[in-house]
Amino acid sequence: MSNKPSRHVKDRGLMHSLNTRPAQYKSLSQMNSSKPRKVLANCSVSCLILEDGPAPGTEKVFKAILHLSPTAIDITWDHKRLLSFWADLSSVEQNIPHEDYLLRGNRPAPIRIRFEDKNDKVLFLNYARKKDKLRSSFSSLSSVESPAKLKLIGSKTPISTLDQPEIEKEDPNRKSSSKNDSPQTNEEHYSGNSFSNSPERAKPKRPRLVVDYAAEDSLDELGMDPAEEPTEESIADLKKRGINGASYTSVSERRAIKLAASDVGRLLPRYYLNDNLINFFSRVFMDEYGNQDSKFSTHVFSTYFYSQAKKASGLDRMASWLSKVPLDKSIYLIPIHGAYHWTLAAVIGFDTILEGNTLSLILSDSLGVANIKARGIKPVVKDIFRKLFELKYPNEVFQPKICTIIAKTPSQSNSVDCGVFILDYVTDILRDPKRFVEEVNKKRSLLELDWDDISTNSDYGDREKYLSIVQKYATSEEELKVAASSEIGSPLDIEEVKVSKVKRNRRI
Amino acid sequence: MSEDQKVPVDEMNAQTVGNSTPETANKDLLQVRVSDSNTEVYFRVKRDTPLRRVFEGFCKRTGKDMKSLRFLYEGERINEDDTPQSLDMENEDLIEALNQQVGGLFYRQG
Repeated sequence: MSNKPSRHVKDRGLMHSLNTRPAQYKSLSQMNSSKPRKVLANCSVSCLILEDGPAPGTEKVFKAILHLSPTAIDITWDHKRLLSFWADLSSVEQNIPHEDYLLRGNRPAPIRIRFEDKNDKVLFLNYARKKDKLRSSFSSLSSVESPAKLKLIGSKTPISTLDQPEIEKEDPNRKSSSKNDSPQTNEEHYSGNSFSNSPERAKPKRPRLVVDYAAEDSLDELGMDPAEEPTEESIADLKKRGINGASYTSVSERRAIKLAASDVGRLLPRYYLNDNLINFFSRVFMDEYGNQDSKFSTHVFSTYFYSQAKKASGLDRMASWLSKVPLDKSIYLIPIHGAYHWTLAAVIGFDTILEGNTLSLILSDSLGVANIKARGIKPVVKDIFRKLFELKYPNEVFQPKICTIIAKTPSQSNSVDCGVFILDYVTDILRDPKRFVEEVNKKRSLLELDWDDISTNSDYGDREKYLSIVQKYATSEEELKVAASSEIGSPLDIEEVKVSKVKRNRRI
Repeated sequence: MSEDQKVPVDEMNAQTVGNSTPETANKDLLQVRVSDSNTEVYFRVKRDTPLRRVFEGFCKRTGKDMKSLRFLYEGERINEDDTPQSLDMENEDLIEALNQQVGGLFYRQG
C-alpha cells in the first residue's frame, strides 16, 4: 500500500500534536519503523490521564486497554501525568478489555485517548467512571463534518484502514480475533458501546457524540491546575514589571472594568483565561476598532450574558440586561463559556433582519468542537435575538431563518489557550468587520476565514501581546493606595436582614 | 415569596422583614438583595457604603470565596468600591452573584 508518503505527514502531525516532544518523537519513530507496518499508522495518538497522577498500576491498565505487547508502545510519562505513545489502533479496536477488568484493578482515571490524523480530524475515546461502571464513548472533534457525517469521516480518514480487507492485505498472517466480522461498517468504529461490551461485539450503533471528559478535576500535564489562581511568585513577577492590575472604562459603559493582579497573572503561559480578561479586552478592542466603520459596527456581549440566558427562563429575568444592548449594530459577538472552555459566537444580519429575514450564527472554536456545541448554542442565541427583536420592532413578528456556520479557525496546540484564541478571533473580526460580513454572506457554509493576524507558530498563544495592552491601562501606584485606604470602613455599615432559599427556576 | 421560605437571620432582625419598615423608608438606607442560584440574602445598607461590604457579607453567609464570585447589577459587573448611590440602586434591587468563568480546554456538554 502506498503508505510511505502519508507516514511522513503523520510524523509531522505527531510533532505538532498535543503534548509531544522531539525526544519522544525520535524514539517513537524508531520504534515504529522497526515494527511491521501498522494499520492506522498515520494517526498520532496522545493520551492524558486525567487524575492526580498515575495511580500505581495505571500504566498496566493502560497496556491492558490497548492490549499491546510492552514493546509495541512507548509510554512516556511527562510530569507524571501525561502519557503518550504510538499504538496499533487496530488492536485497540479488538482488545478493549472487559469493563470488569478495568474496575477490578487500580482505579483507572478518567481517561481520554486522542486520535488525530493528518487532516486534523480528531477523535477522542473517553473512559469515565459513572456510578461504579466504566463507560467508554467516542467523541468526534472534527471541525469540518457535522455529526451526521461521522460515517463519512470514517471512510475518508486513515481510521478507515481498520477496515478488514485492508488489514488482510497488509498483514495476512496476523491473527486477529475480529476477522470473522469483516462486513462491519465504519460506523462501528465510533460506537463506544461496542468496546465496553467486548469481547462479544455489540451491534453497530449510531455514533455517540457525547463529549464527556470527566475532567472536572482535571490537571494540566504540567503538574498544575490551570484553572487555579496564579501563584504568588508569578504575581510577584508581574509586579516587578510594574503590572499591579488594570482598569479600563469603556465609552459605552458607566463603570470601569478592573483587572486585579491575579487576573492579569492568568495571562502568563499555562493559565486559563477568566471572564475578567475576556471582558476587559473585548471592551478595549470594541472601543478601539468596533466603531470605525459605522456600517459595520460591532457589539461584544459580556461573558455573563450567554451564561445567564442559558438558564431556565433566564432571559425573562434579564430585561435590564437586554435594555443595555445596542440594537443597531451589524455584528454581535458573544463569548460563550462552557465548563473550562471558551467559544465565540458571532451573529450578523440583525441590522437587516426585516429585509433579509436571516440571521447568521458563526461559531469559532479553537478546539473544533463548535459543531458539537452548535445544537445547544443555537436555541439560546435565537432566544436572545428574539428578545432584542421585540425591543427593536415591537409590532413585528420574529421569524427569521437562523443559519449556523462553523468557522474554520486556527486551533490551539495546547490545553490552556482557548481564551487567548477567543481574544484573537474578536480582534480579527473587529479589525476588519467588513471583510468578515462579506465573507459570511458570500459562502453560507463552511467559513474559511483569513485569520491573518493570528499566529499559530509558537507553543503558546501570543499572550505577551495582551500583557502589553494591560500595561497600557495598568493601575498606578497612587490609585492602588487610594483603593487600599478605602478598605477601611465600619463593618456596621451593612446589616444582613434575611436569607431565603431560591427555588430553582423561580423568578426572582 | 411565601412567608415560610424566609429564614430569619436572628431574632432582632426577624421583625424587620418586609419593605415598609421605618428603617428602609429612610432615604439613606436601602435594602438590596444578593442572589446566586441557591441563596438570596437581603442586606440593609447605607447609600454610600461600598458594596464590597455586601459582598463580604454574602460570602460569609454562603461560605464562598469572594475571588470566585462576580457580582452583577443589571448585567454589569459591580466593582468593589461602587456604592448603591453610584449605581442608582433602588430599594429591593437585585445583585446577581455569578461564579468566575475560566476556560482553556475542557468542555462538558449540558
